[in-house]
Amino acid sequence: MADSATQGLVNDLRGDSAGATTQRYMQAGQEASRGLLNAPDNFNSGLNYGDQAMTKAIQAKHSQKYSMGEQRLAQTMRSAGQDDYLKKLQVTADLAGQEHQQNLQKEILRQKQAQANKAARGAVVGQVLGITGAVVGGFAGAMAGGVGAPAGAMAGYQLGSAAGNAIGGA
Amino acid sequence: MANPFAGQTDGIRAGQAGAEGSIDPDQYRISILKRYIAGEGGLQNNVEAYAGAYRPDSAKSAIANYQARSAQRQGLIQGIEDLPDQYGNEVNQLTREAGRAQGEGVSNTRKNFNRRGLLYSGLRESGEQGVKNAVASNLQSGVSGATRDYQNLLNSRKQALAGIELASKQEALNNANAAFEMTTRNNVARAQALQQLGEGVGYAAGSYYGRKSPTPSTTGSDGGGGSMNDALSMSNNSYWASNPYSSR
Repeated sequence: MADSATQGLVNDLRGDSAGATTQRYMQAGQEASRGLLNAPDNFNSGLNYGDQAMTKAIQAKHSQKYSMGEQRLAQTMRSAGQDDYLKKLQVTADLAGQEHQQNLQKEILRQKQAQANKAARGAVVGQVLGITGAVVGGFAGAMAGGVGAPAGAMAGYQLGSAAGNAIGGA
Repeated sequence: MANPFAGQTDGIRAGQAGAEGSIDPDQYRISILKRYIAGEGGLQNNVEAYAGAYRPDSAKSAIANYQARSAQRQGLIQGIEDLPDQYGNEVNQLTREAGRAQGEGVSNTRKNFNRRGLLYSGLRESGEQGVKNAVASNLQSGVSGATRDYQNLLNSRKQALAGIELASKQEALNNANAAFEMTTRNNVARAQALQQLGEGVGYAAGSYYGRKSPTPSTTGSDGGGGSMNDALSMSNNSYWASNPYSSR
């Protein structure tokens, strides 16, 4: 059976963390920007003036500045990642709690239904035994002479019915 | 570039499928209520729709509510499924714009340095590198921000869907509880009627056999002989009055 939406959210949280959330935010941006920086540049062809050391020094200087900007972004994203992760955790825990309560209520209802069905079966048996007991009790009451026949019938009914309900667990 | 949302939307539609497989639970309830409105019997205690709780006009209103919720559910599912592509398109758009900005920036820088006779110089190269890095940095920030926004959007949609699902299940549970309570009440009423019948049979049997008794009692009206009068007098007896099964 497929997972419920709440279970899906819980599954999402498995293996996730504030760090992983931040990493997800940063990784896509890093890939995109590195791709842009490393893309072939048509403008450079033919403009090389031969000073490789100078070129490297320039790139290093800008690379440093670029890294500093990247670190600032990482810091911002770390904070954002933590906030977002905690929010997701909170909402998911709340929804999972609701789902748990529902499952509990569902199980209680199932038990109530099972009990009611059992009791209903017992009641039917009780009626049959009760009526039989009433007839036998009435007859016995009449034969004994000490107890009225209707009282005997009622006693018989009570005994039979109680036995049936005990069988049913009512 | 890898799409961070690929795989985060799997199984959403399947998880929302209803009791009849391809349709959601609200559509299933709608179908039950429509059958109820059409006059089909045996749906009074249906726990999916609990049609018995409604009059046909109320059932129509319930159908409208279920349709609205079903539409919300479908909209959210579609939104979740479309999200990875939307994100991919946005990142592609940002990347294209960054590439264009970088091209323009480098070109303008070159023109400026060329005007000053510095085309073949470290200053021109540094200027161009500065433009490239600024654009790349901007793209990184834009894509990271977009990733965050889309992640939060995805989370919100999934949470909203879970909320709808829980509300729908709670309603089904409430319906099942209500149907159970109603069935129990009906069962109790039937059981009471049956018990009265059982007692009646007991009276009749007792009286019948009492009349046929070969040794009638001489100890009074409560004696072993028994009669219909005895049976009737018992209605005033405290034992019968306290009998929980007795409704007299």
